[in-house]
Amino acid sequence: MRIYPHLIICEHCDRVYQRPALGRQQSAHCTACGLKLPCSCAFKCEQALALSMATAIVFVLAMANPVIFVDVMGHQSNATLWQAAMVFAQGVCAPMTLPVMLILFVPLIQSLLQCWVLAFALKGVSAPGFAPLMRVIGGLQPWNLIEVCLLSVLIAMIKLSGYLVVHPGVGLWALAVLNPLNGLACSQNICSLWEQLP
Amino acid sequence: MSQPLPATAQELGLVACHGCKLVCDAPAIRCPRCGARLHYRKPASMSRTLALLCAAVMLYLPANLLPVMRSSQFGQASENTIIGGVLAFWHAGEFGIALVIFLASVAIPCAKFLTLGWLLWCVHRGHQIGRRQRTQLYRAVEFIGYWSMLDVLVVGLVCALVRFNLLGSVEPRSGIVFFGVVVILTMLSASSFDPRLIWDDPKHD
Amino acid sequence: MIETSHHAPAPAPGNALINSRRLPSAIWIVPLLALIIGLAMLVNVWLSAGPEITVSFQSATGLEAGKTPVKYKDVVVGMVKRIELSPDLSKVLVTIDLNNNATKFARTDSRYWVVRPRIGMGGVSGIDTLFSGAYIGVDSGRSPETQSQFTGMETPPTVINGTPGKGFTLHAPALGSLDVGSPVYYRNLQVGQLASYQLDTDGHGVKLQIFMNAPYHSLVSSCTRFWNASGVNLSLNAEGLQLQTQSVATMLAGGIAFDAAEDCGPAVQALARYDLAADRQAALAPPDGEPMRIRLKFDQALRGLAVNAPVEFRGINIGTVQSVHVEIDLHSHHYPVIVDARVFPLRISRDSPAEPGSETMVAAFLSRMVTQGLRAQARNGNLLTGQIYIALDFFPRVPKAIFDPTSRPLVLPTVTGGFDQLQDQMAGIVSKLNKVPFDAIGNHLDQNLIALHQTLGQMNHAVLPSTLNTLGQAQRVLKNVGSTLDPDAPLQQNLNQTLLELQRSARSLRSLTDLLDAHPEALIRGRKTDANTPENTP
Repeated sequence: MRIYPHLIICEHCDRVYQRPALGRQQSAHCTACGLKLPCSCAFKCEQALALSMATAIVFVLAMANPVIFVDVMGHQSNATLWQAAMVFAQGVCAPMTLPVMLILFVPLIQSLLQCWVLAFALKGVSAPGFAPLMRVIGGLQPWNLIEVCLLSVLIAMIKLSGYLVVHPGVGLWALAVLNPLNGLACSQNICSLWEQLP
Repeated sequence: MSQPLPATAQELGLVACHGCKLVCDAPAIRCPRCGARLHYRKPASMSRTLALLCAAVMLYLPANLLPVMRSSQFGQASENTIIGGVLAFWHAGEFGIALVIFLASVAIPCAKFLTLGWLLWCVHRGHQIGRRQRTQLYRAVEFIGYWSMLDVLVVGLVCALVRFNLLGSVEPRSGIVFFGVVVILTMLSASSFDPRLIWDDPKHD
Repeated sequence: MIETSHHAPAPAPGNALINSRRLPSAIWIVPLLALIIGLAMLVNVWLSAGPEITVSFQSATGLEAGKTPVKYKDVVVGMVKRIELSPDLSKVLVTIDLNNNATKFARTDSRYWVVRPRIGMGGVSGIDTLFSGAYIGVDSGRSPETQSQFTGMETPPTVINGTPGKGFTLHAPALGSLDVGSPVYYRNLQVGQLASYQLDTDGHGVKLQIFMNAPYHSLVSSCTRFWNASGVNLSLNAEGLQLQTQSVATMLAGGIAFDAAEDCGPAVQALARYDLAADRQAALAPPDGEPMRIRLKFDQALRGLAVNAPVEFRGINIGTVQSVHVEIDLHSHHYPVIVDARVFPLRISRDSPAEPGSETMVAAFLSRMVTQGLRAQARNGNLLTGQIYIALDFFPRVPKAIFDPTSRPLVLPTVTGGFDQLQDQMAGIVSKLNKVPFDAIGNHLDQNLIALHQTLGQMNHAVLPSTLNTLGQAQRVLKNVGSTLDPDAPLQQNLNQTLLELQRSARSLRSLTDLLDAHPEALIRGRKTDANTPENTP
């Protein structure tokens, strides 16, 4: 079997292209369908690792701290995203708990796995379980719902501000910071590791 | 586009690993680099997409008819469905929220149903016109897919916050389970659809 | 066909300068920053975590792990972390995480209770927990030691530590209608409440702890007297019917009132222990001193003499009757009624400079009075109810009585009478009335009336017409007389003329005699009519 590491195939329209060498701000696109070709942007391992670590830490902060504080007639209440997921745990909605929890934690899992892989990649070796981990990371990508979390928190705040006094919590700021971090961490061209590492 | 399109992998007898994007010879079964199974197209893409789509459509009815949330204040309880919530916000003057919820909970899932259905239909019929646009449409569907989870998370947050016993308390109801399942099914359906089928010429297969 | 060209262009590529970086790139600031923030928050949480204590309650109603706060004066000082049953399933153990600055609440005498909606004698409390859920209230203690295991109270305490004011201890024979939370009044103004009560250690009374709010606690001094102002006091005794009540509130909830006794010495600071009197009168009465027991023997029936009937001396209440019983003496066939009473000698001689002092002195004093005629007598106190009281008074004509000043209890001599005498007199009057022959008198009266009737009839028939005639005649006579005596009557006119004639005659006679006096010769010669007029003659 022959492999063609210098070639690349568009995922959506199945066209074959030559892998170009890209500069810092450049990316390659398919001419037929316009899809950004995979593994086609510059990759800096250190940067990716730093971003992944930051994502993981900020994610823990966003999950552990309440995102919204609510005040009505002197009685206060607050909730973290974790608690919002656990709300489904009782009663009729119990089947929803596990999927929602998993979906919430996808960014954490993804960034932790990335850190693991990248840490070893920084040293130039491939991490143990590199191949399956890389596949898992790729598979988790579509389920990364951080933006949805942020927007849902904002919408919940606006929805409740009609009846109650609403304050943002630390978790919300962490979530807001997490969004660009996560975006950057996920857009890192990790699949370049396939070529760089043996 | 004036220049001719490059050859497809199928024409050239190449296949790309969906795991590590390595291009290999066609007859290979497993990617030598990452060990993932190699296949030209996603296996049973059409049937899986269709099945998941049908399941999502069927579950969409109870998701909209059953109440998603039950709010009680001073002993008075009221349950509202998704559309009921949208109308309540609309009548209350909160047009922005009503619009957002309508988009996220009604427009997007319905758009997904229609789009995926149409894509399946076109692939089934072997239409060749507008393939690029359809691919872009597929990309859009994939992109907006997960935004429908918004409603589930909003319900979860509101229920977790408003827990003041008599003064007001909110509980999730079964409707939200169906809705969440619908969103997940549509996401799975979209991901199991192989967009390369759009570009396939049925005459070749 | 795709071809790859691996050939480089003509000039051979040179060797570029390799610049290896030692320092990590600036991107690492991002995770570092995130890490620092995360660690700072963690340290903050760890530092603000205070002691962890366990409180046991009877039930965990309304408590929720992770949600229920612990509040002191409505400020959150901790949170319930975990709720579980005790190993023997008898109690619920609630683990509480106190805040860092809340170590004061882990003192040995801190108290914990659950605030739930409650309806009690003091009113409805804890309503807002219907909205926010129950919370745990805490009262900080004062002891310097800390502990981590507490037993929670099932009801909130009446008084929180730190409330300005002061607590006092009262002793009462019984609790009566008082309860925790019963108000304490001063001049009908509520100034405090009953905080708690316990049975005395010797079981002979109840010890009450009351708490007076600032600034009223300074009203309590050594001159203060407390009394039970609960409910309605209805008493019916030899002094009459009495109805007393403080207010409707005390009728429902009970209450204690206090005031300063009047003839107290200089007011010093509050005493360690006060007694709770039964009513205002008993409280404010000057102290009675020690009672002395006396015994009285009565040879008459004493129906109407009840226990606690007053014993009076010259109208002053000096004590009460303790017991009334009959002594069966089969040998002498006498069945006297023995009355045991308790008198307070201090009440007799309150203002006298010499105090009675000990019992021997009182006995000597009484023996002197007995020789002067002091006797005990049962008297009617209230005609309406027939109640009797015992009166000690001086009787001038009583036989001498033997008085033993050394016997205990002192036996005072008695006389009968009083109400008994009244009864005898009444009996005497009744018997006298019985003797009056009302029948005979009635018969005679009847006969007299018949005769009178007959007489009057006769008068009407006979006597009356003739009387009328006589009266008519008399009237006519009188008329005649009247006309005779009329100034215009002819008789009178005649009389008048006659009198005038007589007058003239008399005058002329007088002048004649005068002339004759002066000129006796006139009789012969006659009167000279010129110079010698009789007017000039002396």
